[in-house]
Amino acid sequence: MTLSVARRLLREPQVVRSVLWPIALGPIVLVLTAVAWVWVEGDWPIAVDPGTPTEVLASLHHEGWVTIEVKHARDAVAEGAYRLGTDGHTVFTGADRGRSLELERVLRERVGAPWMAGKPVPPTYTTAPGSRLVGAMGFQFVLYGVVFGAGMVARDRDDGTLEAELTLGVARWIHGTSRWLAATAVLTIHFALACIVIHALMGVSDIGAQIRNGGAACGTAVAIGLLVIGRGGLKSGFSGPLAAGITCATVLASIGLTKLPGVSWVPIGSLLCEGSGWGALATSAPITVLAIVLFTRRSAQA
Amino acid sequence: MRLKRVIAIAQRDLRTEFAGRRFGLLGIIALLMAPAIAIRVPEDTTINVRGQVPERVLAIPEVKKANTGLGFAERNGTLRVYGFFMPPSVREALDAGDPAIEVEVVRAPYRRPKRSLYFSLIAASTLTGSVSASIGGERTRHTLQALLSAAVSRLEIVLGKWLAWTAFGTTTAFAAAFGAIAWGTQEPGPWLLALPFVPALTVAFGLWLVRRTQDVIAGTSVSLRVLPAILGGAAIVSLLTSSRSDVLAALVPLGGTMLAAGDFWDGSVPLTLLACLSSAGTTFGLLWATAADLEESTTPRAKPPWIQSVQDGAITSMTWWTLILGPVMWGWAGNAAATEALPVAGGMRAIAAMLAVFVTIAWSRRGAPHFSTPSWRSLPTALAVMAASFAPVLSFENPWANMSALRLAQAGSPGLWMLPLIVIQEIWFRAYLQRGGWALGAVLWTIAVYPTQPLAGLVSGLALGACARRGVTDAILARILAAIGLYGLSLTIP
Repeated sequence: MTLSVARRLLREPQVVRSVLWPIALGPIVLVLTAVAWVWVEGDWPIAVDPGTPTEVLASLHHEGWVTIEVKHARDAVAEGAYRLGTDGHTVFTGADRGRSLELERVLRERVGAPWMAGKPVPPTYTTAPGSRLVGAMGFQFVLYGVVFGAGMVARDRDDGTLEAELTLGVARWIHGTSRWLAATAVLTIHFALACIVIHALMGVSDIGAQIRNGGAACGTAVAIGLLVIGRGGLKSGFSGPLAAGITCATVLASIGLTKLPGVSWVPIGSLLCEGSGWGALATSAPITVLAIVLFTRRSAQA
Repeated sequence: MRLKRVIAIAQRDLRTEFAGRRFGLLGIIALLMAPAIAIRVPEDTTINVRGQVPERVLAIPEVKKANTGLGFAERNGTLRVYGFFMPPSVREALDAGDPAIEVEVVRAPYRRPKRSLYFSLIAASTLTGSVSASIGGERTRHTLQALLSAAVSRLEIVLGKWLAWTAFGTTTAFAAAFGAIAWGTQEPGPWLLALPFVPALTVAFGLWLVRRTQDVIAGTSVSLRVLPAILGGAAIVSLLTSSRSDVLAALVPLGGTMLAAGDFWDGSVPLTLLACLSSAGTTFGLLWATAADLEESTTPRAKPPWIQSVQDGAITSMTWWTLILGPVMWGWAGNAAATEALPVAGGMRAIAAMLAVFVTIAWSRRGAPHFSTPSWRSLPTALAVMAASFAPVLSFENPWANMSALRLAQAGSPGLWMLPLIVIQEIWFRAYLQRGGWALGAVLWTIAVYPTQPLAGLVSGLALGACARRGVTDAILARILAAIGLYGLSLTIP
């Protein structure tokens, strides 16, 4: 029954697009932003006049600049073929900022100028931004989880699928369990994919812990959806339970923002703090059991 | 074509949309427009400075000592200035009439559209919902059939709907424009000519996008996803093109008009007219295409295989390049440590996972790939793939571009330790992308995986494609044999 629920979920184009869109769009926008910055202020070769002194070229190469000899450096920059150029005494630039100041500094150092731009401190690399991004994307999957949990039941009740399944000779707790398993598995697999992609692009501090936190968050979100739907359907009584479920998920997420001790044990909240994920998984288990029990008693009826 | 019917359909559309919501919607639009009309952003000329600021810099009227801004420090008898920008007045003060090095800004300053761009953007944005409900709503209410059987032509229907929403968008945009002129926040100019063309082309595009949607929900989901991307993308393309040629930038449909409406070209009448003409032509082309394709009810249309392959190829290329070249961008932008810390292997693992998802989706929707029994064909194909891997990689002046090319080449020839990537690559490219044609499959393979090693891409793509025609097993085997062969060569040849 779990497989059949999962297949029904994945057959809906809106569901597939929803879970894949953040994984595709986030990284693409990230990289496009970097490309835009590279376009404006990236490490591009500079144009140099044929008569540029060799000592100047040596200084530039020593600092890592790539120089290309052109007929007239000034014209090359004016035409837009190069962003920066020099003849050893003058800097030709499109704008007096950033890398233009760095080029000017190399020339000023050679002539012992009284002032110059300070050498920029090389930026360091940490996995903190990647981990934060993964946490934020995890919250998007949490919202999907609430919608899937509540929406699956509401849709199945409205179109008669729930009634048909209840006539099968299976224990009633299986209906809630299979829905929880299917939705959680779909969301957790896609969240893990998001983690792998962000880890490749930016680096994530502990990808295993992130996936565990994500799994706990998705499971809890689906459980919340199952808890709030009650006997509602898509056509009657859906928006109220959905709002309640999303509010609950948001409250749990905001607990994570407080960074209080023990918050790594709060599922959904643990997405936004550093935790191994095992605590969140442990805490999400009783929430899931409660959701399935209440679903069986209240909702697993036609 | 009968003008009376066009106007009647326009009136009907407006009446249906505004029933009961007239003042609410207009109120929201007025709220959105008010800041764009009235807010004057004061030009802040203050230059914040900190640290050991010399007296001659402090003497500049705009300079103010703060905790942020341009930093000054004495190091070994030399004054160091820390900051991204160098204001001309500070440079002049520091040089004190005797610059050791001259700096010549040889390009025109960066141009920006003015606030009138917001009027056209907001007007276009408010139309998204109405346009998406326009044709889909007719199908939901089953009134499209009634219109068509009442001998109203398709073109009249489309023109009527276009007229309704273009008139609404134009009125909104002009109301904001005249408000800004009256408030004194923008001068009148030729940009007023371009203003109506933005909503006009946006509506035409929106109608074309939703021409085959079954209902309002489908129409809304299509237009909400695509229209903002079209608006933003067109503006960016036009902006980037303007750095090379203003004429070409003006010719970009929608983008050129948006820049003209934003007075980007400082009142240039020829460029504004060019932009308007380009957008007018595109508008009528889209309306014509929409009318030609409008049907009472939509029947699912199977995409020709080559179109599906090209779409899949585009998505695959974006995914591949993003994951392999993304880390290089950090170094190119100034953080070499980040590039060093993010090896290409991570990107290859992520690609394997993404391709697995693509294959799963394709498998469930288009059927399983065909796995044949292995045959002798995999051996010569493996040799061809091995030979292709020695093809030269394109080289560039820029070391970061070279690093990008090498990373792509490395990702294109994964070793045996990346067996899952090899298998999933072959299933995706040979079993699904190649459904559009053997040669097309090879081209898409080259573009996605070997853009900087085109010879390698074409040779391996054609060889693998040929042997995969009877089933994908041979192609997978050929790749594995090639990986083993290349590994063996790497051990024997220093």
